[in-house]
Amino acid sequence: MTDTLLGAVLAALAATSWATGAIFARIGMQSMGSTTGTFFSLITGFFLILVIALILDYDAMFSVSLETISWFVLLGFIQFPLGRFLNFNGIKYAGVAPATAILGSTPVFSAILALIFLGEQITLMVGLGILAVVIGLAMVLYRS
Amino acid sequence: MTTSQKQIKKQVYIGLASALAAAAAYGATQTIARSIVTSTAPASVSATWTIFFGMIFLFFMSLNNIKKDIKAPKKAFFMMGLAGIFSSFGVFFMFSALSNAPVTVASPIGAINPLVAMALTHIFLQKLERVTINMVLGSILVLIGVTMVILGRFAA
Repeated sequence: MTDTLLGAVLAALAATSWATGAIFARIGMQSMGSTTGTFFSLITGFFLILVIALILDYDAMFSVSLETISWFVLLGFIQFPLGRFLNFNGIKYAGVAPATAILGSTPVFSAILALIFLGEQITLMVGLGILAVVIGLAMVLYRS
Repeated sequence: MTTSQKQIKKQVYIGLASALAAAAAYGATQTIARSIVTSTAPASVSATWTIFFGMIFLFFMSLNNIKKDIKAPKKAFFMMGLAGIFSSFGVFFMFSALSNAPVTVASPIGAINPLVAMALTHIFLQKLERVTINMVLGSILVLIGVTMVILGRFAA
């Protein structure tokens, strides 16, 4: 198997894992609030990732500078209390299908932020892509 | 429209707004991570520390609700635990995919996640929610748009 094909299979596994996670979250949050649900999902996720990090990068785990730690604090705040909690809130109240479709537009938000803060240029293809995402989201949101 | 229907409609709007805000938050994370973290620590280390601090923030956020939610059925905790494991596996698989294949291959394939979620919803959650043709077509358009954005940024 070539590296690219292996990468493609792993990316498909990533998509399937995220989708399966959303289904479990939807079932779990039927009888639990989204803040507590997100917190419990993070506990199991943390121990899994911790084991992987200790196996793969044991030395790097404990040689992180204070400056990098401060960036992890910021990322942790944006990604979990904002990102995952709001994502699970969306799944709980709007449903798996519309919430995951909206979440699929993440690369577009990333491109817009890169345009504003990193000075990236918007090409015709990127512009058309953003337009397609906006129309697609409007279709998903219509009467959802 | 009854009060109950108005309440449900309000909850759906809150859910949709939450999902949009989550997409913006994840977009911000990708931008920050690309410019800073990836150059200073391996992916697994970044993910561990980021989840650790996220867990602390969420612990304080859930303090008010935890007394009530602790009485939830064990099945709910089990399901949320599985949701966490699968979400973390998703991140791990994606990092591994990106280390083997170019972004232009891995990212668009990772973006099929909403379509997989809709298929699973249709199979397993028929009693809870309905997947409409508009949702499927809209998600395909989002997938095409996202692929164009990724390819366009990569080409630039």
